[in-house]
Formats: sequence, C-alpha cells, structure tokens
Amino acid sequence: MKRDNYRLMTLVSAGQHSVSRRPKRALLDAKAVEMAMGVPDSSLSVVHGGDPYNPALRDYLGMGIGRLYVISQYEQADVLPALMDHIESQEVDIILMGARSEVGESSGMSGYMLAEELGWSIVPNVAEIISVRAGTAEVLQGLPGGQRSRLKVSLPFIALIGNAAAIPRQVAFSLARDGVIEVLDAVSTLDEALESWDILNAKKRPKRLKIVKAKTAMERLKAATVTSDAKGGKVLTNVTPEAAAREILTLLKQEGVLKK
Amino acid sequence: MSLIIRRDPRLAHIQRNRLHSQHALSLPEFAGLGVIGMGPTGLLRRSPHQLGNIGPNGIKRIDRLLKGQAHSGHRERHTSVDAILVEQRPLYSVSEPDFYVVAVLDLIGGRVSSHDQDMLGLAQLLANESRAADVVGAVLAVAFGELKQTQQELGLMGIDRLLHLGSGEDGGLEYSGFSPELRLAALILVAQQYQPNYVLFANNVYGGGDLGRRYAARKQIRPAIGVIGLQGDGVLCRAAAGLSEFHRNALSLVMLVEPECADAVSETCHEAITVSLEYGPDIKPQIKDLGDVAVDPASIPLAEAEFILSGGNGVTDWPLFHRTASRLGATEGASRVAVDDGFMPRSAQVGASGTWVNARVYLAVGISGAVQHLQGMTQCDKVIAINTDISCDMMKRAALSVVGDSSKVMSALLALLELQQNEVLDEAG
Repeated sequence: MKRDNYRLMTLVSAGQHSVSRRPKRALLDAKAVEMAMGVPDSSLSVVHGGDPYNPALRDYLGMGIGRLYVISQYEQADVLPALMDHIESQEVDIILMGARSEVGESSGMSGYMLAEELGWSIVPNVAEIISVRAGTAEVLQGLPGGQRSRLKVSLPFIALIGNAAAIPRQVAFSLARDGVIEVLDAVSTLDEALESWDILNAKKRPKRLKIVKAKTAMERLKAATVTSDAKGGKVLTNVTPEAAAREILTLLKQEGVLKK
Repeated sequence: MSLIIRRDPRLAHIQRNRLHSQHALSLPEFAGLGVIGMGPTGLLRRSPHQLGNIGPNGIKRIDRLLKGQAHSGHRERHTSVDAILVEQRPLYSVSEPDFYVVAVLDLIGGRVSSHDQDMLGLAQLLANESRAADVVGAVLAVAFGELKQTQQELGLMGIDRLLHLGSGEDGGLEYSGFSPELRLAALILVAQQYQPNYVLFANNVYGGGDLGRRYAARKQIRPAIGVIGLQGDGVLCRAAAGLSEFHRNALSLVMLVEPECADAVSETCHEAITVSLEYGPDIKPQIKDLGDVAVDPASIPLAEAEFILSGGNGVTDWPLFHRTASRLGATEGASRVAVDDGFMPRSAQVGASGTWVNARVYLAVGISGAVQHLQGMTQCDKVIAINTDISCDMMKRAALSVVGDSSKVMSALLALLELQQNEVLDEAG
C-alpha cells in the first residue's frame, strides 16, 4: 500500500521566557513545528490543549501554519484525556512534540503516556526526519556529544523533539495576527495530585563543597597540600614516536572514541 | 619466612626489669615513638630526630595525634589518603533484604558516572530509611551493556546487588545501541522478580531520562521527575524547565533524579553481589537502530564534543595537526597561545576565557597546561599529553604522557592508522 500524503500532528504548549517569564512559544515545540513543516508530501495540524486566549499561541501562527486547533481546558486541568480523545478522532501517522514543556510540572511525560495509551512507538531526541515511506520512517536521533544515529521506526509513532533539532524560523507579525485559532470545546479533568503540591520559585542551590574526610593530622595535611590532580599517569620518556603512537591508539580504542 | 611467632626470652627479661637500661626501649608501645630512655625524674625522653615523616614539601612534620597508630606509621607513609579511607570503610552486607531499591545505571563509556553515583547515594538513603526499625533494603543496580568497573569499585559506590544484562557471557549485544523497548521489557521482569519499593533513574540524555519515563508510563505511575533531594516525607523536584520547584509530600515509586540529588556513598563499602534474571525478555522491537552516522567533527560544538585534539605552543606543523584531527575524528581545540598567534580561531579556545569542555578523551599536543587552560578541562575524563617538557602541569594531569616532539608523534600516529587500515582491507579481501 503506497500513500503519498502522510498526516502529521504537532502538539504544542505555551512557553515562557527563561528570565522574564513573559509568555512566548516553547522552543522545543517550535522546533517540532519547524520539523513537521519540512516533511514533504504531508499535511500538518497543530494542536494545543489549554487556554485559547494565551498570547503565546500567536507565535506558532507566526511561523506560517495558518490554523491552530486549541482544545479548551482549564488552567489546572490534566489535558491528556482531552488530547487522547482528539487524537483518536483523527487519523494521524506521526505526532511531533517538544520533549518537555516550559511551564507547570514540565515532567516530559505526556508523550510517553500518549504512546502507552495509543500503543505507538516513541522516539526521543529526534534531530531530523530523513524519509517516510511504505509505513516506516527513517529518523536521525541526536546523541550526547553532538553524535547522530539513524533509526528505523514503523508508523504510527511519536517523535519527541530535543535540543538536537534545527532552530525554528522566526515569527512573522502579520502571519501571527492573521492566523486562525479554532477552539474545540472539551471536558476538563482536574489534576488533583498537582493541586496538593507546593510550588515555589527555584532557589539557587549551593555549590557542592569538597569534603575532606581525613581523620588524622597527617591525612589532613596531605589533603590540604597535595592536589588530587597531581597523581600523574603513565609517562613515556625516551620512546620512539612509533611506540608512543601505538600506546596512544590503544588508549583511544579502549575508550571507544576511535570510530574508524 | 616462618609464620611461627617465637618468644624472645631476653627481651621478656628486659621488659620485666624496670631498672634495666634498655627497659623503656623494649616496651612494645614505644617502638617507633623515638623514645631514647628515661630521664632522671622518671620521664620518658624522646628524640625528635627519630620521629615524624618528611612532608610533601620537604619539611619534616611530627604528627603527635598519631599516638595510637604509630607502629604502622612506616607503612602508611607510602599509601595514599584514598587507600587508607577505603581500607577503613566498614562493610555493610545485606544478607536478606526486606525490600529492594532498584537503581538503573546509565554507564557512560562503560563506567558509572558521577550522576549515577549521586543516584546510588540517594538509593542507599532510601534503603536505610528505617534501619532503626530493623527494616533494611538492598540497592539493586541494573546495568545494561558494557561495564568496565570491578566488583570492588562498584561496592564502594553503594551497590548491594548487581544485575548486569547484556554482558559478554550472556552472549547478548542486544542491549547495545538504542534499545529502549528491550530494556523496558527487562525492567518489567526485574520489577516482577524483585518487587522493588523504589526505582530510580538518572534524568539525563544518556538514556535514563527516556527509560524512566517509559517505565513509569507502562506501570501507570506518576513519577517524581527532576528530584533534587529528599525533604521531609516527600521529595523536592525541579519544574518549569528549572524556573520553579515543587515539594511533593510523598515519595513516588519511580523517581528520575538530577545530579547532586544526594551525596555519593563515601563512608561505607558494599558487596555488589551479582544476581541474574530468571528469564530474559522476549519482544519484537518496533524501533531498529541502523547505527551511528558519521558526523563532521568540526561541526560538533566544542563544549559537547566527546573527543578533542587540542593544540598549543608546541605544535609547529599546523597542517599536520589538522590532518591528524580529521583522521582521528576529533574536534579541534586550542590553547590561548595558539589562538593569539593566529593558528586557530578564537571559538576553538579551551579554558577560562574560552570554552569549558566536557570531553571524555582530551588529547593535548604541545600544551604545557596553564591554570586557566586546566580549569576549562576539569570535566575531562582521560587526558593524553604530548609535550617536550616532562615537568609541565599537563603531564601531571594526564593519564598517559608522551615526552617527545609533537610533529614526530602525530606523524607516527597517522602512519600507524594508515597501516592498520591497510591491514583491515587486506583481511577483508
């Protein structure tokens, strides 16, 4: 079965500026929208669950998506049940979403909960969707240290967008002003657990000190005067460059940094 | 040497006779304390010339607090502080645990990371919460794939039981690469077999964050994510991307912990007994890992790079340096001198006024190691130094140092890599 038109859905959240807390688009969600817009032969619907009057939502429209669907929810609501209903009523091949939100609990769990309930696969830290064909997608996953690996995953699946993805396009004012926000009414479910937790502003945590556990004067003296860095390793003197090179390569192979 | 302890009747006779001229010296508790005899008032006289040790900076130190341990003073002089502390750590063995705390290790490059060690510290806190009531848990560490550390090292980190999946003997490389579905299935089996009270993951990009969320979703548990410490009966978690924090008034069964959530285990020693799963997971993964993609090392940001080749004042042949970097697949870094002289861009500078790097392997060529440079590379795991000066600070920091001309060593490296590639090609056909 060959299908040309894949249906993508991007779930977006309202973000906030990391210092001023002014509402704005969430960076990872904007990256998800950007990635979805770059997939050829596909249609895209962008969905938000929450307050339809949040000024942050206009930023997504400013990226040129034209229409944003908002599933109307109260502020303290658990949006997952309403989102689930909406997704099940649509036919979707790939859901793209930011790895975690910038407000609220920001646990990064919603993608996993959706994947579990829908029975779909979920791929974290997607950097790029290389191709989608014949019911499978090939994606590039970002690994720590700037590395990338290729994964093959069968449709439908959820792609969590991490920092490795491309930077989203800028917001155009006229597109943001003229875009349409379509409000879908839904029942809100109260998140009771979140209600019972005390939410505070984050305090700066003290730097961890190096604790000297020496019990005797001799040990204390050593700890205070001998720097731990001065242990020194293996030193090769008077060796041929070839022998030294062999030694270095052995160490590099042990550490597994030598790819070829 | 004979193991039979022989009596010395002459020494015993002197020890019995208080009036003997060598009586004071013969007493066992004074051996090594520099006692030279009894004064006219009956006071024991000591000679400072026979006491003390030469300190690290060449000055003689007499440590008068060491009274009880003076006999073994000579041996201790040659062991490091760490070694003494390790020997003194009491062994905590849990023979029949009342419950289990599972900690899933991330193992970056086959080693337990400092984040993992903090997590194990928290796991030990949870396991020993009600030690007073004689309810003691065991920390069960689950490791996937390659593990380079010994049982003793793991025991010192606070692991009571070790479940190592995908080790060489299991004949399984199936846990290598990106295999979250298989790992999740294995974890579900672990939970069935051990019924843990808590399951801890390190909340980071090395796999713990992903696996922990998968586990919580499968188990339908609301996890505590971004745990930065225990507080009261509950936990303190970071929320809103680090802008706010919230206090959950109860512990969760699944916790994804941040670095420095607790102090790593440093006072006790544990057994790290190897255990195994009764039967392995049997699933068909939907995600297939097609392997790593070759990434242009020059495009990797210096702060993220895993392997850095850094050049300084001692590099004379810069084209050779660039060739070596591209052949090794290393990201290029530089010291301030190399940047100031115009050989490298400012963006490549490592150190206090440049980038603070995080590499696993740092190959420093012709860098003597100014304090500002060493500051920028404190996080690096393995440092290799090539320098002509044996007394430089970089050599003290390095795990492997080569004293020699940088150009010759780099040329030899390139030649050796060429040779090895040819051999591989010959074998292939």
